[in-house]
Amino acid sequence: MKETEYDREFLVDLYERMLLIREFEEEVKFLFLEGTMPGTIHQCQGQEAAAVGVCSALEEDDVITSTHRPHGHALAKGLTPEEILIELFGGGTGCCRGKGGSMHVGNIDKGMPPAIAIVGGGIPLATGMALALKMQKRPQVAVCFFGDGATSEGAFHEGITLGAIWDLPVIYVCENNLYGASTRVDEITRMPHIAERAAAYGIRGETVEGNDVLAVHEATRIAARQCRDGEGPVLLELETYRLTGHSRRDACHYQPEEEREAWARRDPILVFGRALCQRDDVEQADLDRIRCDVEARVAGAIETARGEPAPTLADLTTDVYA
Amino acid sequence: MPDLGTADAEIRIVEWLVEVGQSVARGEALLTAETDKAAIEIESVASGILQEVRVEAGDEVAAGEVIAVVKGEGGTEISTESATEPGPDTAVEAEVPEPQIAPAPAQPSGPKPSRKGMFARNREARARRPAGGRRHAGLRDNQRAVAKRLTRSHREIVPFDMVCRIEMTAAARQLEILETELQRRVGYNPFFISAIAGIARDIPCFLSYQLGDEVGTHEQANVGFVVGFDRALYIPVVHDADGKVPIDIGREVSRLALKAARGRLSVEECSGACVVVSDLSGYPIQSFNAVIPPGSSAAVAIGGVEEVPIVKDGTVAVVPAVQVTLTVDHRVVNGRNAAMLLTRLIESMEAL
Repeated sequence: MKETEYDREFLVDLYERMLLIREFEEEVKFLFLEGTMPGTIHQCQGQEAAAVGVCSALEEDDVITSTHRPHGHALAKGLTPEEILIELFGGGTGCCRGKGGSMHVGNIDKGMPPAIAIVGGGIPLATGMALALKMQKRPQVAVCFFGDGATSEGAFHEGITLGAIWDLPVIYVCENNLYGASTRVDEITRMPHIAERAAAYGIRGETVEGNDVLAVHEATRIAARQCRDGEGPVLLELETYRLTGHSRRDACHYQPEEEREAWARRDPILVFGRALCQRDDVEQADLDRIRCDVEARVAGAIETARGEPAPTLADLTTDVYA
Repeated sequence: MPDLGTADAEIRIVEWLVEVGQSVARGEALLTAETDKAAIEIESVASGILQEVRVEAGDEVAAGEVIAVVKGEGGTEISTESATEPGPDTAVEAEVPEPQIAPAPAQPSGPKPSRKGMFARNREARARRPAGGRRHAGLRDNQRAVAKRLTRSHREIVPFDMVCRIEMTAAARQLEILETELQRRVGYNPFFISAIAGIARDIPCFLSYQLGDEVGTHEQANVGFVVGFDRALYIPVVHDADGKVPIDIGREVSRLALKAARGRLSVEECSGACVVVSDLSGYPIQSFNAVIPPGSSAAVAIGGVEEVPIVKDGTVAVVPAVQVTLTVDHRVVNGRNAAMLLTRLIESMEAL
């Protein structure tokens, strides 16, 4: 099996990162239900393998753009639970100093500009960052996360057209979770696979099992190498599923029961944990210990975040451009 | 109650999924609530016994209100899976004997500077807002149905109005007798319903209706009457009212109005009206036009009773009178028939 080709530390790290995202999202859900978390939130339970698989194949100084559902991407890119949670609480020491909130988490020093909540809005931006990287002759790649809904936006066509004609080092990563909010993807396109759209731009496209963290990692590693070799862009389609509402206010009635259950059985953390236990050097107890560590880490981060003061009136005009 | 709707919307609790006295685990569905978007299952934020439900199913609540109390299983360590020693901060959850669902924002333990929670801030902002400010509220089932029917009426029906004045001296006398007999207030509805049913039987176009391209006829002279509440509107129907005497109609009106107040009317009790009556005679308004519900041919709007001078046998007399506005669906009733109905209605009411 594939898992044997990697060393233990790397695989366990992937597992821990996915679990961190899941635990983070679950705890944030309860904070929201308690009424202590302001605003609405878009969560990514079920899509952890996409975030972790992609980011684990990148270098620290590679850049990503994210969406209105950014918590997983941010954690996978190396932001700490603390800086994100403080931001969610609107605290002045959050990753955007309390001015971004859930839909704009990011930390440019860690290769993630604040997430772009406008559907498809990140595509031209990632393309622009890739253009800058190319013009400055730097080795990094830009990775752009977006959902299936974004592929029918004009920004998708415009961004990828530019990325393609300028041979930019950018990986367009479509997390196809089957629903753009509540609209099923097959209601907005006749293409069975979004990756097939790559052909229209003369770039390489690939559909990947998005709940298989190693498959995502491998596909991204190859795409990143291709981009660094000047053969980008690449369009990756990660087939996955959102095991939660579009936002916390979404009851998800449009997801058929059988479909939800089928995808729940393909839960990326469940599947990968089972695969890990097949190895001689990983036992269930190891995974349980990781879970405890992750739970304690998130609980600690919440306690820290709760006490952080909000920005003051004096901060009103700092960090803003207009 | 978590903030599930858009700003300021009231949230209706549809159903409690756990009974008082039963245990509930964190993350388990505790209730279903309805917002302006959809019904949604809400998970419990605490584990323990559901000790008290403060808001009943069917009632509405604002985000941030306490809706239930879950009593924690005293002393039980919740974080059994935690490998690390729970510090004083993380243990808070397990120590609190009665965690409340959606309490006022939890204060951070320890001496950290506390910030006012979102709900507290929202509540304060609402309190500061000048009276008369707009409030958005979610629709109840009834309101949604009413809105749909009113919109359909507005879109399809071609209304045509006609106004007359009816002297109420005789009717006032009869009403007193009727209300003494029934020992409750019913207003003029029974008399109008009785009279209109008889007239509609004689002028058959009032028994017809048009719904889209479909034209139909009611078998019986059924007359509906409008019952309005702050946040609900019903039109219960007295079926086959032709041939029933006002006292019997009065009993039926009173029974149906009571059911409406409790929201217990059946679909049958609200269906099949040929003509509807809207009685606002107790208010100091002159006249108004009523909306014809889809499936009916006409609506009769009764304005406020006022003392007016009229010429009677060559002299001026002051009598109680109402202005009645008949609105007909011009696709099924023409002007002459409308005039005939009003003429007959004046005769009937003044000769009671």
